[in-house]
Amino acid sequence: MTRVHALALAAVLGAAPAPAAGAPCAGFADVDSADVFCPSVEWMKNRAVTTGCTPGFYCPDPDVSRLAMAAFMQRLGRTLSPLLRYAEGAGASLDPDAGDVVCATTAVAGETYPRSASVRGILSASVAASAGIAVHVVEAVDGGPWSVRNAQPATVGGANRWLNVSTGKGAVPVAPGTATQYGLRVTRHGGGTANLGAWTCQLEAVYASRTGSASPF
Amino acid sequence: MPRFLCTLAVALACALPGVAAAAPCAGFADVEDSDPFCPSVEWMKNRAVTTGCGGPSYCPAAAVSRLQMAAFLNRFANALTPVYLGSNVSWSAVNDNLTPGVIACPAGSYTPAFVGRAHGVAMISATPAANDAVDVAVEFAVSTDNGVTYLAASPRQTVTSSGGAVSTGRTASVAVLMPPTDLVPGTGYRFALRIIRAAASATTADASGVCQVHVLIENRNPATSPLEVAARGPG
Repeated sequence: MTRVHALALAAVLGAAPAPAAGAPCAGFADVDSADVFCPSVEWMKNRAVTTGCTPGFYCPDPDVSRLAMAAFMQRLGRTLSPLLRYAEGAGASLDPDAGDVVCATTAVAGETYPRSASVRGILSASVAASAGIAVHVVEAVDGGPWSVRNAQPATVGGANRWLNVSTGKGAVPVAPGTATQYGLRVTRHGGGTANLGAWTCQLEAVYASRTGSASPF
Repeated sequence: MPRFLCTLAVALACALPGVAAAAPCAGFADVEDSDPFCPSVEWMKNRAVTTGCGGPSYCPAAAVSRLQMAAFLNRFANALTPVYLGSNVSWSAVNDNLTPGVIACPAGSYTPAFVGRAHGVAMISATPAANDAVDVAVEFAVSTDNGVTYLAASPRQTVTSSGGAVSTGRTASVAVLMPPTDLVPGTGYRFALRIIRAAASATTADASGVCQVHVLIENRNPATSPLEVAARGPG
């Protein structure tokens, strides 16, 4: 009797699949951690592409049915599809000395996959007198305080001008299980004391799958 | 017969297409609409990853051969590979090219076959010609059904406005983001930058410059989509 048939019969009879000889791979007792395919099994589990065939077991030998393959494909597609968060805002005035955060996105929460975020933002603002501003990309994790994520692109404008600043930050690692959000912080830079007049902002955060077999998870 | 018995013990008999008792899933008569795996089968069909095993059947219990797997992976990659549309145009100071309403840098046309989501960025730099002064404000614009009418797809971003115009020899630059936009399969889309400056400060609107539009269209993540909801209807 082959191992496939043994496993099939075991499943029919309600018996648990047989454990492997060595240490379990990714928590699956029937795959040895020394198995050359273990990194691939671990990759799938860490991205919720597989949940195993029964708690604690992967069932490495049985064929894949077309129905099970559909689930694998959909979960893999979900993992590989980028998540997008976008925010836009506008107002009649803004005080750069207040350090306000504008265009804050909603958080991506509850993701168990390793991802990295790329952020870009734009702010336009009118000034009635000479003034300068700087714009940072800021990040908040699990509702905590905002922290600066990039250097400060800055611009200075004269009377009756508009300031326009584009900024961004690439490939910020996002820890699995955290709720991470982004925004733009506007601060004073380059002199002047005038507040900003009418302003608009946009921010986009793209959370892409982080590759590699090893992950924090 | 429970499916797992079918899969594990009597694969040969179950490899033949059967008929599910309840409503078909994604048009496949041998997968029930209430099956917990139905959303996954639907997800694959809507992205043309599967076409079924013949007729209106999916053959859910049949094993996947290595040859079939090659086709599935190929189609899966086609559905997941992003589509990029872009344009990069330089122009000289002629023909009132910064007149409000002008469509700049149209980035091709695209008709998605699958559910997708577009997002992107556009930029423009303009230098007024001699004796001109111009205001520069822009928005992302999109047309549907390959039409010539572009609809606003973003808030405006402004670098100068009436009363604060850019004068001859000075360059103004501004960028704008396109909010993520869900695309309907079978509809033709065009993406571009639209000049919406206030014209009060300029008697003419000639400027040299450059503009760019970058749009990325990616697989849309959720399990359900307009197409998928439709696929759950009768038949």
